[in-house]
Amino acid sequence: MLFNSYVFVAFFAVVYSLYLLLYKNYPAQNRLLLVASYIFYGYWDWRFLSLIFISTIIDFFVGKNLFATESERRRKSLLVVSVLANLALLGFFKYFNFFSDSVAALLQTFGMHAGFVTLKIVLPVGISFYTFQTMSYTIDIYRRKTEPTSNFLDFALFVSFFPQLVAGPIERAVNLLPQVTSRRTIKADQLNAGLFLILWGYYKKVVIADNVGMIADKIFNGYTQYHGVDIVIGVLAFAIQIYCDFSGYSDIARGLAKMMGFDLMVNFRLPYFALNPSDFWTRWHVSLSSWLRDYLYIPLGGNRKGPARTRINLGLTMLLGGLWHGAAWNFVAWGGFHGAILGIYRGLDRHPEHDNPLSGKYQYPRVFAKMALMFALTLIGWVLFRARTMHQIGYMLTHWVGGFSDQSPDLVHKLLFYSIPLVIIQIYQYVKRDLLAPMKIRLVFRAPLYAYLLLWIFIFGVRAATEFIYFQF
Amino acid sequence: MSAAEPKRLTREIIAPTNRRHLVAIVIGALLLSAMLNFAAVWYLSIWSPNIGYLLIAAKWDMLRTMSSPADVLIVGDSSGNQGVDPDVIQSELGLSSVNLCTIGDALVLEGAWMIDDYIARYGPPKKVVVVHAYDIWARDGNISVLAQIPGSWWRQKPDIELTPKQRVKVFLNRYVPIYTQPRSLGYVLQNPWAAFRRELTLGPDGFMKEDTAEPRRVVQDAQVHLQFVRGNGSVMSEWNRAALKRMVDLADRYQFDLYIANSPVYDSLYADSAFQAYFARVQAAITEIVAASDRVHYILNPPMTFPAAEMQSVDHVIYDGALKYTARIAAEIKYTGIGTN
Repeated sequence: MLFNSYVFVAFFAVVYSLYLLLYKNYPAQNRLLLVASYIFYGYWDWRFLSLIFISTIIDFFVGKNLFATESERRRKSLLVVSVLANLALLGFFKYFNFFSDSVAALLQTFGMHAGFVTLKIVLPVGISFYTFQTMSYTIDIYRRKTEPTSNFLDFALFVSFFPQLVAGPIERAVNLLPQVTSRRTIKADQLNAGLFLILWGYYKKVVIADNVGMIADKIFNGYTQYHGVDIVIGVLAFAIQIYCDFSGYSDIARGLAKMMGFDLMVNFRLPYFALNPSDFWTRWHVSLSSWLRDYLYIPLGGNRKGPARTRINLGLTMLLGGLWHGAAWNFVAWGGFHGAILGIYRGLDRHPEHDNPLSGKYQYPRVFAKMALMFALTLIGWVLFRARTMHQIGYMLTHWVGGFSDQSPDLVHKLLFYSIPLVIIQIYQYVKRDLLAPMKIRLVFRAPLYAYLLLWIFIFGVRAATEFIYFQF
Repeated sequence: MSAAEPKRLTREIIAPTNRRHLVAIVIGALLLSAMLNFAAVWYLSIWSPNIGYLLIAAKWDMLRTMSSPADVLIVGDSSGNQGVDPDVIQSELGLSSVNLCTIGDALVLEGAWMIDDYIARYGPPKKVVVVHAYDIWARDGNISVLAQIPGSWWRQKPDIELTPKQRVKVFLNRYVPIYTQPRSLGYVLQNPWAAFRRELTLGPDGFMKEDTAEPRRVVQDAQVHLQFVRGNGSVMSEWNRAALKRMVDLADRYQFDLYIANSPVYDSLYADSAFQAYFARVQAAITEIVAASDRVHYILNPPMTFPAAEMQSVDHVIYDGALKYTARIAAEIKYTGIGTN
């Protein structure tokens, strides 16, 4: 069920009405949300509910036993069971064909023919999200950072909570589970923020992402016909599309959750205002980058084992982060690229106080220059991410220089039309250092802003419910 | 990657608010959206970039504000809109006429309702000419287009059953353009410099004069039509059949002459055997209904054909073609021996 479909609107209206009716009985609300979450997921393909269920059962019992046992050996074994089980699910459904094809291709280059099996495996939507979420639960219990819940149904809801089930944010048990297991109150503040996030999220998805996505698709799919400004427009369009698509989903998810009294973590913090790669990853897909930081980078040694090892750890973390996005070499290349620039930037930033708006030494020109450079690097990364072949990557990265074509004015016009409102609102958020700043303007301006968002969703929103890009990850 | 979140990062700060304030924002935004929606209704009624919708509004306005009744009513689709020049009818037959043709998706139904409306206002006309392209007869109702026709036409004859969903669609198409006309509004918002440019130019008698031939488009259009005739089984939809029967009833009851005219056709298309086979079935379906009355005449049958150099599409002629086409209609009216009734 897609957020941007009429079916979902009707589904949420029913679920929310029942949820409000049960406001005095939070266990009943939880059962309702659990059933709703399974319907939400099963609407795509009910067979894959079994995967969520398996993951839920394993991690529930592993979590319970982890907490109950003092034996370190047994604890480690239990952790390995949980991690292996989740990675096995992920590995089989997401990476089997990729590795099978890659090994076959590698052997073929040495003149060997390998009859590897290629299965027609359908990728279950959101598998990367919920497996990471449940893994964090058992790892946190193992680290004694959180305690397990004794209620299986509550845990099942933590794993499958429908607003964030298929595209995040990847929640931590320490944040979400206590909200599941206690009574929630819906305050006006939350409703207010929730409504804004939903409206803003839909605007970003159906107005901006889906429309500029057409420009990106046109240029990426027919890249050999374009050069110069058109290639730049295509890459810019994709940068805007993927940001608005994914952050739009996160905003809607967080807004829906807020309306039900839940607080999900912030997943995007104006990533294109980043000053360096490290800054970028504290702003882009925060729930994943912080997951990788806490469960991969730091266990690998983080920055505690010298500069060389730090760079290796960064590279490894980002390579796996790239692979998390999809079973294809371009995602690995994208992760590798970000690992490389993280390594290169490390040690170059000698005066971080100049970048800090809270510091008296803040320097605007320096900040703008760094922002522009980081944005350009991000765009290079998006070429690696979106391209389908090495030839395409090579072509698009070497044809940025050049003039306008007959189509350029129209492409520029469309791109500006859809992206200028986003840029204005984001500059306002950045200057105010508050993601909810637009909902704090005076009522006489806020009502027109909301009306504008609503009208644009009606008029420019792409009606055919298009999938969110991150569903495929 | 540092484990601590840098303080300079943009945060999400929830401001305290109360329910009254929240309700005020929601109602304010909805009211404003509703006001802008109705502003869009008004705007589109005058400057819509959708020429078809403007044409329907303009022709109905013309029908309802005529200073004196016309002898000949011309109803039909866009092939008649730019194919039948009332001046030629006047000079050939000495009869006043008005061209009320709109677009194909308004179906034959719209013509039946126009005749009804005309009779109610001015009494029966002397003659009615109905011009439709061959493929219009098979079309089913496009509710979005029919909704542009003013009045409660679903209560008029012929009876057409609208499902509750279709009734909602009519309402939305009339009163909620921000939802139903996103392309028109989107075009205007993306091209504000063209917002107050009205593309529709009609003569006072309703005739739309087109001077520029588009032979290449005609040839391409012919391929589309050949695909249509090869793939289409149906030749007359239920609503069109009912509308034609209604016209025949009106002609009988009010004793006026009704002329059903085949539209102009591109000569190469007409020469195609698949086209001729399909066209013969259309002719048979029309003949079967019109044969019921002596007041009804199926004219320009076989149709009048034109070269691509005189057309804009396979059934739309430019002005030179319109002069010839209208002259033929006038001649056929004369030929039936009732030209000056």
